[in-house]
Amino acid sequence: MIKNYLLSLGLYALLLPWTAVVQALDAAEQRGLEIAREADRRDQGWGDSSTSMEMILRSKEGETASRALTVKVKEGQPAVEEGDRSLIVFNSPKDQKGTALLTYSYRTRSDEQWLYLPALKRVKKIASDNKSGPFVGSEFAFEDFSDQEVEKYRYRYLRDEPFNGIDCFVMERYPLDSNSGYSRELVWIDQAHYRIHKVDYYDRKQTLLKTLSVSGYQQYNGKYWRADLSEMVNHQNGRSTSLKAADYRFSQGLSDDEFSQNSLQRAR
Amino acid sequence: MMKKLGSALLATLLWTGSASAYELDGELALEGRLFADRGPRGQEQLDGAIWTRWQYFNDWNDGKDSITVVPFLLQDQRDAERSHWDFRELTWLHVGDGWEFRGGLRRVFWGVIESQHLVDIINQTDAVLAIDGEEKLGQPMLNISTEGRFGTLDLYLMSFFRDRTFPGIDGRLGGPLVVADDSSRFEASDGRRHVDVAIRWAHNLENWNFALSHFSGTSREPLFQLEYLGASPIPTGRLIPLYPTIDQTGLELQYIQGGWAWKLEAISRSGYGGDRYAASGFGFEYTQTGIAGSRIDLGWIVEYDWDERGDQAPPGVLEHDLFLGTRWAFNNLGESQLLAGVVVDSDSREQVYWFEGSHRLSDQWKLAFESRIFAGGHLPPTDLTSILTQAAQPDFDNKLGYWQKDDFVQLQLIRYF
Repeated sequence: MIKNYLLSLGLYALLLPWTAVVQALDAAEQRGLEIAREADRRDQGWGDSSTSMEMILRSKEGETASRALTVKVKEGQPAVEEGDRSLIVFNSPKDQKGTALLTYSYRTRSDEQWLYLPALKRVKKIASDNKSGPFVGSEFAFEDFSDQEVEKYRYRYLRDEPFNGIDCFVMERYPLDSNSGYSRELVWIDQAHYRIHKVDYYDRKQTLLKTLSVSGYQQYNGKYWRADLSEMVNHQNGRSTSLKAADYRFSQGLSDDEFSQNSLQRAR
Repeated sequence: MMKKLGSALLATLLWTGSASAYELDGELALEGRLFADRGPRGQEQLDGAIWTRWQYFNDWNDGKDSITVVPFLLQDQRDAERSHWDFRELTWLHVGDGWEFRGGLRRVFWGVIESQHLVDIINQTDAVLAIDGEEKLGQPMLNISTEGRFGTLDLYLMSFFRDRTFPGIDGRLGGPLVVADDSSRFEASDGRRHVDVAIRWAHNLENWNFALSHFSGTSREPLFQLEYLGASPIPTGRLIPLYPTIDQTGLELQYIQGGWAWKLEAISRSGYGGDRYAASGFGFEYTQTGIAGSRIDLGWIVEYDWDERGDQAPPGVLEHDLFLGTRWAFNNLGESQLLAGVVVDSDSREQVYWFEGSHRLSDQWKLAFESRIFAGGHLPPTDLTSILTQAAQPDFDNKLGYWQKDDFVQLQLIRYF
């Protein structure tokens, strides 16, 4: 009996390195994980989504630049290694029009990413481990744009606290990926709908790096909440980026063909 | 035929234009090139050009059918041969269930390495525009692409050969003799109408991606024959491009782990007289994000290029050369970029330095910079007798001799519409 138990534990550890960790969670960690899982559970089943976004980049001196992009995502099935697939296409700045980024995310292993450069008609597979780098010169990092699978963090519930008058859970999450630019993230999630309202990102030196504020939540298809505005402020360099989302559409029946090597080259 | 194809497609385009929304984007650029010396034919040091490129796109049938038209036009201040126009694309695309059909003039890129484009063979190089082989002429083709668990399989049927562009008597860069690109000769008896075929299978497996390709048809890369033009007042000649019929099998391989991308391209080619020969380029690119606490991404590129023919390979071929490069992405508002590198011939120590940079001034304006510096050689005598002697007994340590006066910087100011 004991032998069987150890055997199953060992097998689990091989299949899902996470499971072994789960065994050792304390109450606060367990609570944090449950909140993350509940947030994930409530946002399942949307199938696919598409949206247009405008990014406004602001320098410390107040100069601005903008980028327009469309984002399509196909949801991964729960409990399989393959996660979401996404396709980000740039419409502006004009010299970047047609540039597209295809991402296959995975629950545990590194994501796969391909960049399409229209001037050369070149598809370039890129190292997705460089996730801490700025995304198109903005204050968002590549990792802020990728699928944030529950399995890619450890969690710790801290306290209940109102944020802008909304009752929130405050918890910490720690990226498990050593390539992440963050050592920890402090997250405010509301208790009613499990939506993220604010995230404080701490760099590898444990210094506050950025704050994300999310506002203008709207409900789609009677179930899924999406924000109209995400604002990322970098406390270390004084820059900020706002991301405005519009025209959300869900469950349009996007097929895998929309997230293929060929579709990457004709995406718009 | 090209004209007929063009008018048929334009007619379709006008017809569909009334049915759905279209997109039109344009670029207009002013370009200046400054050379360190006068050329070996006495060409001027300063050259200006203006070019424009437009893209018309229209789709219908719920996006399953689309047309893309990309005309390009360049007017050069001095060189009538460099002034030219082209349809970079004039394509009808039909998307099926797991397959696509693309017909018309198109640009296709194959390859993974940075120091040269060895495997890339579908399109002819528009050599008067850029020295790096990245500017291409639109190639008429029919292409079927299928995609599935097996990867991506592409079949190409091509004809209406495009001649490589070469600078005219007043143009740069290049040797003392003008290339007569209107007098091309072909090994294939049907000349430019020869039908070329190609196939490529590409696949991704976790950290690996690879592609196998085969091309059978008229080479895009010419050999040259000297045509003697007369003895008075001094002996003169010109170069006639000769396009052999070749078979080329290509391999592209890339392995990505962490910030490392390990790359290999290899070809085996027959048809250039003598035996089948092999050539390869391989190396890595390593990217560091946020160097020294900044937001700059720095990439290190190291590649070695090899050609089985060794010293017998034509000038310009990387036969035993090392490429060292750095790629800088500044991640600022204007997304400034810089690529700096050097190609060193490991035998002769000849060097070519590369600098390429760009900075976006606004959504409408962009500045681009490019420079090449040729070092470690000397300009040989440029009279015909010396050229013939040089051709008979080449100096393998001075294969870039005729480029030694061609060091240049180029600036482009581009306006987007």
